[in-house]
Amino acid sequence: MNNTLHDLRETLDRHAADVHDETAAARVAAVAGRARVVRRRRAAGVGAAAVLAAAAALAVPTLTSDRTPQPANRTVLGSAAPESLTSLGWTYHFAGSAEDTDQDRLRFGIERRQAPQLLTWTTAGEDQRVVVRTDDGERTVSGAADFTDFVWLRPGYEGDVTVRAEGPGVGIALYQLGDERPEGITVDGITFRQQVADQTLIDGVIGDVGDTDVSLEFTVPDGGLRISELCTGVPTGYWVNVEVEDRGPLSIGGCSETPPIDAGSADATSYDPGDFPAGEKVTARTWVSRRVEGPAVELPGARLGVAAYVVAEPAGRVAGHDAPTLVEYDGHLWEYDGQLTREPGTPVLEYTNTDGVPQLVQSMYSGAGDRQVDTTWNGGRDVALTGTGNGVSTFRLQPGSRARMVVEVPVPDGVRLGFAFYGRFD
Amino acid sequence: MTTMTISGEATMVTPGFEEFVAARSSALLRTAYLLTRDHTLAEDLLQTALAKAYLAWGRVEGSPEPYVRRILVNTYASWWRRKWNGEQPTDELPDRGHHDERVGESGDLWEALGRLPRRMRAVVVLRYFEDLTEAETADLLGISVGTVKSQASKALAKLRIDPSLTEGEAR
Repeated sequence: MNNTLHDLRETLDRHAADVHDETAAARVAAVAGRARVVRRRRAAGVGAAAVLAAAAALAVPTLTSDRTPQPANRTVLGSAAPESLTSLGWTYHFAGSAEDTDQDRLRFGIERRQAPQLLTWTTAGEDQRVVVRTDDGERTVSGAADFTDFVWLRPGYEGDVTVRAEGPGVGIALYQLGDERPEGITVDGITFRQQVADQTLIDGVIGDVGDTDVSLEFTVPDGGLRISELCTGVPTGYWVNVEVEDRGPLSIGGCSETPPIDAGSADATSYDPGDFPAGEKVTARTWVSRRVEGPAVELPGARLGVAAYVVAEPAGRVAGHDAPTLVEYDGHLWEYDGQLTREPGTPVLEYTNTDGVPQLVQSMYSGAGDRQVDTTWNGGRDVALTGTGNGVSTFRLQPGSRARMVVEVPVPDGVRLGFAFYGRFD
Repeated sequence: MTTMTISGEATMVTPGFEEFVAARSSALLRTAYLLTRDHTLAEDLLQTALAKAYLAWGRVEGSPEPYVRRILVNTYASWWRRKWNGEQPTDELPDRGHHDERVGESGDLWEALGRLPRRMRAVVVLRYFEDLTEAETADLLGISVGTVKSQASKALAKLRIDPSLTEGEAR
């Protein structure tokens, strides 16, 4: 014993003083970027099952344009809108429509629903190009034929949507989630899908309401492993823990307030091939505790679930990251279509979409150290300041638009930048 | 209320978040650094904690700093190979940070701090850097006061600090 508390405090103070925070200004944008990713992922997986029973009732969009467009049924601008649309295995049914035969712009309100909705459109002229804008700031450009493309409206979306065509005459149709369920494991309207992008369900379990300790035994696949967890009805102050064998536990601070519908697409933990011996039986467990890693406690309203997925081989490596073969984004499935990289140390990467159709782009980088990485596209921007120097952003690049990734100077020698490209698969 | 356009979306920033980050994130970064002993991991840990807090900002009552600090410390304590659907930059949080070139007793103490288990290190940072009481430390970590005492006692022993010199420290 040759140290004192004074030594300890002095050591802590001195090392804390070594921290020179020169990145505070960029931190807000970087944090908002991370939060956007989490919010989008959560939105994809949530929605109140209770709402589904009422989904059969038509909900005609609330028109808010200055003019008074004539509401239409499934016949919109003289064309029949489909009875239903599918998105990622989910079925959406016609819920309402609107049209304006004189104007090139249709603006209408969307009522809040806790399940996602789909919006599709038609135009009167030969040119089928439209621009769809939501109050979230999302801008979608599409040249697809009438009623063959859609915009996915997140659960809880409430606000206006504007559809602008190239000439007079534009109509829309709105679709709401039906009772049908995709292939997979479904209990009380909650589903672990059989297929989520490039991941295939091995097995899963959805516990009863009030069961706060749920386990799943499964055989480790020969490939990547993804453990998807489900939790609802766990109030603030409790912890949801997840572990696979002796790995973990991982503690989650909270979970959704409403029962999730698409449980498999929400929060998950991934493991690399070889983390667990392939072919062996292992157990994934999730439970609720009062403190981190604590014992399971009783909580009557809680519902937990866990599922194991095998992840397909990636399509390629891009700037030190795996590029998956399939990606789910905004209700569409996208397939890998190539990549663009430069020599390590190159500080800028640029690409212009000349395909004539939207592309999904994953901008990937590694080796950036503490340098800021700034990605811009379509007027959008993602400022990344990861600390570890590695990151991935996903965005939709419109035809004719440019994506650009820039590393802050001084540029680390080993920094690697890359774009992975995806085309619409469904 | 301010509006910030990120990733093509107009993101409504809860009043006070930007101001909070501007005013307090440097202090939180220091705590993160003492926990991780690595500048880059500290930044990553801080951003992870702030992103969690950002999503719940509207529900934060009173001063947000204890809330954010709780998230930060507990994220550190339970951080293990979490991958966020390909979007999270950090796969793994190493237990050891950069080598510190300082020598002598205090340098040894810094190295010894790095060898402490994460939860024990968190107790040390909260008690002897943040100057939280045992009860405050217990509340923040979600453990009992008795566990804080035992963790602190074990930590001090590992740091070769004479227990007799800790008398009067418990508040």
